[in-house]
Amino acid sequence: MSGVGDARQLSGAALRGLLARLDADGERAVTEYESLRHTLQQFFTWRNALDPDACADETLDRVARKLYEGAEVDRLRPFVFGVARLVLHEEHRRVAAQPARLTDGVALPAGDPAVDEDANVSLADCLDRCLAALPPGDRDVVLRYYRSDGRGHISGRADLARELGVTAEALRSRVQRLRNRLEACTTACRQDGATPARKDGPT
Amino acid sequence: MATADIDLRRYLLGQLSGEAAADLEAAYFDDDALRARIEREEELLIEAYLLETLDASTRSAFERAYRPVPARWARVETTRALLAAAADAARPASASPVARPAQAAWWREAWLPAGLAAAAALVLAMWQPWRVAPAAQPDTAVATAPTPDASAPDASAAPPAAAPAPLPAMVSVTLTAGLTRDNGASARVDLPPGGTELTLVLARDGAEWAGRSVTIRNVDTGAEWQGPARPRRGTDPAGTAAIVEVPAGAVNRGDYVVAVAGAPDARFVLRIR
Repeated sequence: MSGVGDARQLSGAALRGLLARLDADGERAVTEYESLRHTLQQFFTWRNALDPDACADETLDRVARKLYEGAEVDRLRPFVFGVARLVLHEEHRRVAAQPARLTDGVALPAGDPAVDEDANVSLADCLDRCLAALPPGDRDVVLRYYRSDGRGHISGRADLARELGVTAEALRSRVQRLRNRLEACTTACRQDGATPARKDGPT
Repeated sequence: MATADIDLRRYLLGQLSGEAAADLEAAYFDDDALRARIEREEELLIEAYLLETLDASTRSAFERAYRPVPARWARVETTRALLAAAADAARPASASPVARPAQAAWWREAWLPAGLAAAAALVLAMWQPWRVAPAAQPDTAVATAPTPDASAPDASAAPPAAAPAPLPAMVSVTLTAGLTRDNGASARVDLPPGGTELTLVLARDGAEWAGRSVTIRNVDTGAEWQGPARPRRGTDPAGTAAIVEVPAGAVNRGDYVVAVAGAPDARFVLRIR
């Protein structure tokens, strides 16, 4: 690999190889890739990585490169898991080796975006803006999903699922996708003070 | 063998052994349905925390697992905000705004681990510009007798004269592991109007924190102030104190977490009224 151009070609070819390994059908391969990436994000979050998204991307990059270089992999997901554990181990060592700044009692590496985040705009304000930017149907689903009875219980999700003609798990998955959008939106809003552009269409 | 929901919760709380956690992770990497079960369990766990239906032990474990990790705590805060938004959307238009729910859920226990052997004393010194003072008490005269309330001014001060000078009022509050906001022993200080300089004296075990950075973070706004802890003048070499001087206006009324850099187990809760 001699330069940036070669690196990009390698990366693109490696990614195509990974997708082909996930599924011969292009669309199903993309769906499988997104599912795998989500699993990685959850793994790194639950194992307390400071930047789960970056760790997930690093893992997938390494897996793609290994496949491109001809590594023989019998079962892909266990292989991905093994690479993820290594990336997690390296991440923990990297964090432990860096000088720490303290925020909210947690030592974070200097320059970590979580440390530098501008919190001038409150989460509630940003969430209001981000909810307003959702399509009305999605917004209604989210707000009904989190409606509490005021006595420490959240009820009505089974009814909501029936009303929408979906299973409870499908409803949860839909709300989780909406949450992911809202979390990304509120993070951007709090950092930049930006008002999210309205998006139409189903999730 | 199917994984019981209780084990999923224990995984989320970091209570599984390393081997058991690795086995579960290998399993959910290969099984999206299992991963979805863990996500559902996390959703229920976060909601139970915010709706204050967790028992004390689980609540404490939750805070230990989630509070220090930004990506995990962001999920809690997002859920909290969604619960509040849903409550606001559900109320009649004429009703008064619903208080954001469960803001104080994590206040139930101070973030001092059970393993901390001895109490750390947090002494708050209030400089009151409108009081005429005798010479400011030296640091060595900081009150060491703990008092339950942080608001009492110095009763021995001279009556006001034409040109009032700052009068330091020293109050000591003792925090212990398992402290709750509601048991009357939390650290509270009444902030008078106008600028007030605040001096935090970290007593017991405080000497080892001298030279470190201390962060005071508002729980609701996230606003932070950072400053150094310095050794208290005249401190007994065997002892125990470091001082953090917080300038006037740096903190306002609200609930705060006081944390010491490099000592993740050293946290204090402070209410400024």
